Amino acid sequence: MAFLLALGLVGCGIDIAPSSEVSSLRVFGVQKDRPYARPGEEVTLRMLWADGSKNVGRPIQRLWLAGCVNPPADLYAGCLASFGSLAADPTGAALPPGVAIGQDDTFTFKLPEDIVASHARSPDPSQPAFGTSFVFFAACAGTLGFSPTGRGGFPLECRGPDGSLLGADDFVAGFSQIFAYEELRNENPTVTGFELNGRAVTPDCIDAACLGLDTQAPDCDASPELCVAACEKDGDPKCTEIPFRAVVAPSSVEADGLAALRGRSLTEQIWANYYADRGSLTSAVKLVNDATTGFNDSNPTELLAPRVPGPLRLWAVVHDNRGGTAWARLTITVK
Amino acid sequence: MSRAVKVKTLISGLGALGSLVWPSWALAQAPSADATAPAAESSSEPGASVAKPAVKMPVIQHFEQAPYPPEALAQGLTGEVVLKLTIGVDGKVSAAEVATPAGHGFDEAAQAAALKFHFSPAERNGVPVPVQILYKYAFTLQEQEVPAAEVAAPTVGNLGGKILIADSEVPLAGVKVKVIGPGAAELEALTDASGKWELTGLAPGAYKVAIEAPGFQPFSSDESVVAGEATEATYRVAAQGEGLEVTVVGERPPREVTRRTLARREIARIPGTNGDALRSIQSLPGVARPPGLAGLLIVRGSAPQDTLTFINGTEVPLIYHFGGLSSVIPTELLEKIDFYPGNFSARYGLAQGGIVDVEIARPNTKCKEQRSVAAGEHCYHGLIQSDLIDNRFILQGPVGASKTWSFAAGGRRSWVDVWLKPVLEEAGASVTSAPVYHDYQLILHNQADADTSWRLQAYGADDELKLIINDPSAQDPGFGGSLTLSTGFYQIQSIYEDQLTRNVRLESMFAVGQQTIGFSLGSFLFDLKVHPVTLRNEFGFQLNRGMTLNVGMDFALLPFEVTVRAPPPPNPGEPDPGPFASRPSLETYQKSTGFRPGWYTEFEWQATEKLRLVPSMRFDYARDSGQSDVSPRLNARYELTGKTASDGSPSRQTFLKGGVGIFHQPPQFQETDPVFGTPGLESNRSIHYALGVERELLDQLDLSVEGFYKDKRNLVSRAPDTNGTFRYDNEGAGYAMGLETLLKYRADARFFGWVAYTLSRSVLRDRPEKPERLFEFDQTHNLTVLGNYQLGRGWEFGARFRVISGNLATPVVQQGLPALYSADAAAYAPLQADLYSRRLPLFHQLDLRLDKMWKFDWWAFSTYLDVQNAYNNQAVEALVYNYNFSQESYQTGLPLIPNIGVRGEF
Repeated sequence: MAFLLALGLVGCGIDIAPSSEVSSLRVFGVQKDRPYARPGEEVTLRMLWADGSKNVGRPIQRLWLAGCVNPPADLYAGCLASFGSLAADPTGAALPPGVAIGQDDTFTFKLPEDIVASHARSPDPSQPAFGTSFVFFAACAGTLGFSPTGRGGFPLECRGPDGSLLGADDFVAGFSQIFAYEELRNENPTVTGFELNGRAVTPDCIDAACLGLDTQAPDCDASPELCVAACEKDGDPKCTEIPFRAVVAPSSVEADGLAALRGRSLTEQIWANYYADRGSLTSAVKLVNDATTGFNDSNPTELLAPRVPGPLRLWAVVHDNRGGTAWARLTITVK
Repeated sequence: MSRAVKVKTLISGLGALGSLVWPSWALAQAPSADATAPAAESSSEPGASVAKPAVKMPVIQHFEQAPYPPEALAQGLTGEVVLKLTIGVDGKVSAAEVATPAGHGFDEAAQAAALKFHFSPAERNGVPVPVQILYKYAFTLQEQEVPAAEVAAPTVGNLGGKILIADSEVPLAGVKVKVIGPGAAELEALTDASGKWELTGLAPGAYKVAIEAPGFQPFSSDESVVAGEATEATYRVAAQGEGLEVTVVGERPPREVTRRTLARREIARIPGTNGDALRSIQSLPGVARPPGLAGLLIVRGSAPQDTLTFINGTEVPLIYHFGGLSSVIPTELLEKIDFYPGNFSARYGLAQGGIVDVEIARPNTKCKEQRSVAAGEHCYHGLIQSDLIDNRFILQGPVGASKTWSFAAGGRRSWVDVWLKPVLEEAGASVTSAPVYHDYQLILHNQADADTSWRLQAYGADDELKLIINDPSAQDPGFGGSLTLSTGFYQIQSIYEDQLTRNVRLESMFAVGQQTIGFSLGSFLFDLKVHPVTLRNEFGFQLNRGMTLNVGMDFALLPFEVTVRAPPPPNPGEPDPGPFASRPSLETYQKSTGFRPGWYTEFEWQATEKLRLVPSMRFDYARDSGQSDVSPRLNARYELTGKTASDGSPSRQTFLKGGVGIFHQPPQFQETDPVFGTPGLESNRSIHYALGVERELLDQLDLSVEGFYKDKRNLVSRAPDTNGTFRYDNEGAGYAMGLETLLKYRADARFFGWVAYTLSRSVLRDRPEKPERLFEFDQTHNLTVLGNYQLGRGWEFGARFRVISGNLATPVVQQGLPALYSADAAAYAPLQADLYSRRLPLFHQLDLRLDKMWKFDWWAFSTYLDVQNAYNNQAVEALVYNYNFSQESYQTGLPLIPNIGVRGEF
């Protein structure tokens, strides 16, 4: 199967937009201050988003929806039914008990005290008692509302100025899952900066500092390391590929506590998702740390600069496989 | 009509009577004229009972009178010398060996005369072939005709006829015919080379004709003799035992409704398969096309895991290298593949789909025609082959000077690592260990006599791949990091077959081995090790002429150790759980011993001359699930028209066939695992119904049409319980039905080919409260047309064209958001529309194959070009989406792929 998977990776592919291309409204990540929390703790979530559409500066509504605890089979889909009454009430005035709503780029809510106790014991005896809660979010380049029809089972919808439903380019909805353990902990990975063309460069921002931050194109005379030459045409494979990677602190790689409880020596799996609002990247996702073989700190993606000079924003969102997230942004100038 | 009575009188000028005896044995020993069409090659057919290689026996054209040995003549002695004659393709006798001496000078006289015989050469499928036959040279004292005046009044009649081998027009010569007349008077006659016999001057009355020929089932018939008339009858006798089945007579009447057999030549030459053994099955009716390179056997709307594959009776779970690249047993070592798409014999259990039984060939020790060897000498054969996928070798022949022991040894190593490593690296993977596979086979065979054989065979295979996926999938970044895949198995098998008595047959198989599957990706892990011990014994009791009782046991002891660490996989019909990367893993470790014994009994009952019934019962127990299953089955076959019409004119055989039976299959491992599944599940159950017709249209052309219906009940399915935890139960159900048509031109010297068409529909209902849906691999139409023609001068050309309904896919919802963003995994979870509700575009593909062989004195060199997807059709295999499922496109299949191979063999 792996062989076939490998073949699938290398051949007979398709030519559709890669995830690294930011040409529409995008949510890059949601960072929790406590990826693993304790029962009754407050958790704060931050949403990193960007609007890559040509309609620059259009307002983007954000919304958070929390309160789904221990759904059937621990699947997000099991939450959608519990939000049914929201869909029935387009105003959202009558929130079901335990449901919390938030707006803006950050949102804080409290986990129930009994989140672990109320969760069914796992059939895996090696798995410690845990509970889980889903937080849904949305970013809308129009007007957000509760869906009276609940299309697709999701209770929110986004409508444009003419009342039409907006699609995936203008409306992003999703979820983040918080695990609650009595003992286990997980911290977010740590991004310390970027490396561009083999040289360390200072990012525009890291983590919370990136929320709502304006773009400032660097001066090529003052910061030549942040300037790259334009390509003759967009996506030109003959154009020079510029290595680019987020620098992740090796110390932020944690042991997988769950695996340790099972007597195994594994670390977190960590990877980085890269995004560019112009030009293109040769790889959208890069491995940072493998659970068995360890840290992989020389694994850059490559940037193909666009044809048109001007500022170019690059994001790296680093994830671990236990809900930890960190990010950073870098703006460069294409000359 | 002669009215002379026979009076043995000593006179001078004596003659000799010669006759061919046991022609079936003779052909079984015939050396092959063509290495690509070995003598042991079995025929293939839409239904087994119409398997008939076109065989023509040698006919004597010049008979040399042997001088009667003076000493024997003086003493009034008679004698019968059985000679083993080697007859070349020119009809000349190159060797005459005394098989059964008579002494008194008869042996030398017969030997000298036989070397001067001349025959018309034997032919197989129209091509002259060298042959060894047994020839009985009888020295008798000539009869003297007594004047008619001395004979009683003409109040007698004659009784005679012809004896043929069942299911063929091959005469049976040298057979002793016993005739018991009124007053228990016993007379005897011997059939001549054309199978004819006659007794004259019999008193009117009732006679019992009994035929006993070595290697054939006893036969008797009641006849009447009328004064002044000649009573003539044609009898067809059926062969006994396996050894004869593959030579002249074809297969035993099947115990199943449908058995489709692929012979080695067909397997090796089907275009688009690279001569791969198991991939050839996908050209048969009832078998769906799997997507891409996947080595899945999807039979009559059943899931891939519902069809089991056996090698000489032992189940082999890993039948393909790397899940579909090539079969683990090379074609060159196969005798044949029997494929049972449904209603299979009670010999097989624990499966509710179909059965594939691969038979490894007896080592080839026959000498080629070109070699000048003494009769009975055995020869060695070797083969070296290389193509773009792998290199292989095979060596086989006798063990030393033994005439009963033979061996075969083979090995294969892939070299896809040479070209795949850079391809994978180009795709962003860091390859630690390039993908490589190898397999090996060692066979030791003892053929004590025609009825007794013992074989010890060891075979195994290993696959290994290690790489680091530096660029994880954007659709699911959890699929990244260190990937290791290692699978392997070995099996040591002892197979003993013996005709214990004339009416009792024993087949015994014992096997031990090891199977390992190791897979890890990032933090996910699957590690399985099994040491299976399997035992299969079957006794066949021929109770009387029309009834055989088969009693068998089928035990599997499965000590295993397994570790799994992964999120629970979603089942079809469940909501998409989101990317793997966002879900916590479960872990299970089990060390136990599975025990799955089975017992079966089966009657093969020739209820009437035309009706054959095979009722059977199988009992299975699975200790892992604690389930006992009883599976009754009934198969039937009725001869609508025979080889000969009622007026004696030649006719074409037509069979009506059908069956109904219950088939159980225990749950899969993960379904009963205490962590990933639910202990206490019952077995899946299917009821198979089949009804069809087989008709011989022309000498080489057969038509088979069969309808089937499969009622699936008690299927394992999964749903959340009151705590929200998914639990398995047996609430699933479904059905599959269809019509299979096979128009097949049986392989002759130049051509083989067929047209296979299947119309089918397979439906599942995952839960009682859920609507029906199409089975994942449902294919409404499946048409395969293929043929292979020997052009002459060593050239051979084949083509295969397939038109098949497109695959099914599950699209995303058409309105509103198509997917939700799983922020922890940085990937989208699609909001799916109805499961498998989209039919993708029609699949069609042309495959071509060209072979060329150069024959030299003692060896041959050949090369082939196998072109898959010759006109480079961009066949749609799946739906694919961009990262947020807002754009949809098609994943296309493999492009035009040429594969070139070379082979040297002797």
